[in-house]
Amino acid sequence: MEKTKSDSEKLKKILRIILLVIAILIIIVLIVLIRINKSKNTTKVQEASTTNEEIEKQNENAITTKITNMSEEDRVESYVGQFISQIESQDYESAYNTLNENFKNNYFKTLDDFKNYAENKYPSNPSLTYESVKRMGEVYLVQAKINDVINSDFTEFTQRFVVRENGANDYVISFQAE
Amino acid sequence: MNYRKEKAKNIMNNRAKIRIAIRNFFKSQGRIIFVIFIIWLIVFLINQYLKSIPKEIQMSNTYTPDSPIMDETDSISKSDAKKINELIKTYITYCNNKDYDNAYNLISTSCKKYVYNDNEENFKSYVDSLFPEERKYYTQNYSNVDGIYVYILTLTDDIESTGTTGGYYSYSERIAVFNEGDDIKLSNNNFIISKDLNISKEDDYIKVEITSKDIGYDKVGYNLKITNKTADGYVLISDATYAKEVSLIVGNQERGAENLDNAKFFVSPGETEEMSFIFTKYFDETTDESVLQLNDVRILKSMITTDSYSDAISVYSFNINL
Repeated sequence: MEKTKSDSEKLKKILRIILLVIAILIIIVLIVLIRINKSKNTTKVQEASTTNEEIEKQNENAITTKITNMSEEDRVESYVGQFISQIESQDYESAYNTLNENFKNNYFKTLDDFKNYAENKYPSNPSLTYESVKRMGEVYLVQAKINDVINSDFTEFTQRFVVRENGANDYVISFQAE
Repeated sequence: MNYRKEKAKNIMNNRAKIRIAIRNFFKSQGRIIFVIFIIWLIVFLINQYLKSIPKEIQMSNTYTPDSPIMDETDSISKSDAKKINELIKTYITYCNNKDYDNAYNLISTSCKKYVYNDNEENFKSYVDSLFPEERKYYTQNYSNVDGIYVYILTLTDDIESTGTTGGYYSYSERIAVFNEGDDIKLSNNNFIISKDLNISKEDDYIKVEITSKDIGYDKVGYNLKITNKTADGYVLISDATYAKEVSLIVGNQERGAENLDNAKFFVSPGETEEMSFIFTKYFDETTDESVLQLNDVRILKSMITTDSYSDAISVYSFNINL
């Protein structure tokens, strides 16, 4: 009887050790798998960075990350700044694509309409001075003074922008089209 | 030789002792070590998993429409906020569609009475003045007291479609949302609610009953019924000779009634008159009113007088605790 009891206890001990060893092996396998997965992603990033498209994507990601960490007011001002920069660099299509659809229908039915307006309205070397940023529910009303940094004969003017932020660096703009 | 044998034997004995000691240690503490190890393992794996989850982008945002600006007032539960926002949306939709009947049905009983005189035509005029065209809106919870939720409602034109070209419209007022029986109703035009009061006090000359008070966001109006108990004397409550002939005590402040200008509040002998006095009092002030003071009650033989104070038979103050 005692011998059987002793054998049974020994068996239990052996089982516990086996379970412990199995647990350790599972941990090791999991760690290895996670590490392998991480290194694969790193390799992918390294491979992709050789193409221009991926460089652009990386730049976008960098801008998005920067914007995400900005304050609300700074983000909204940066969106208006980006819009004016696109006009400055004559990337009218990109600027046009950020416009609110109803606003486009009301004031700039075609890209050419917008281009004509922008060429006549904005200076070649615009500078922006933000006068106010006001939250109106889910949109922001930004008032900015626009001037030309080089041409001192340019008459500065104030313009209002309505900005809706859908996500980081994802926005829709309309503006005082006068 | 014997020395070396002895030394080897000692080393083997020591090693055996160490092995026995380690084995005994694990025998006695093995279970605890095993449990701690498993716990550590679980925490480690969870940590690894959480690290691998892509982080959600959290951008700073100041728009919290259901958090009260007045922090010291009550907060709103998510379910209440949902009901309130649905009510407001429905109200605005009715107003935009000129569905006056349904919009009017959402207005609280006391607001209909106090603001619109129980006349839907008055409400229609109000809606027409604010909604000559379709309006967009947004709200901000302002304060919450005793189940009454005060919001700032702002109406605008569609500034996203216009870009504010030619200017833009923006109008704000305070609305209040609360339960009225089984329904949820709203008061608008900066009005909150009316409350019935049955407070009365009398002396030899007058009996004063405060029947109700009308609470606006920044004003309170007390409605009085004053009975002249004399047979031949006139009771003059106020003729605007002085600014605080009628006043309200709020905390340690005495606030004069604001509707006394160019008016005489008096009661003829044996008659009863209804009078209302309006004071500045914010709905979310933490201090309540304590006393309504009729500071210069004058008993006169005639209302034809050049100086109501010197011509009065009696001049005294009559205070009513609230």
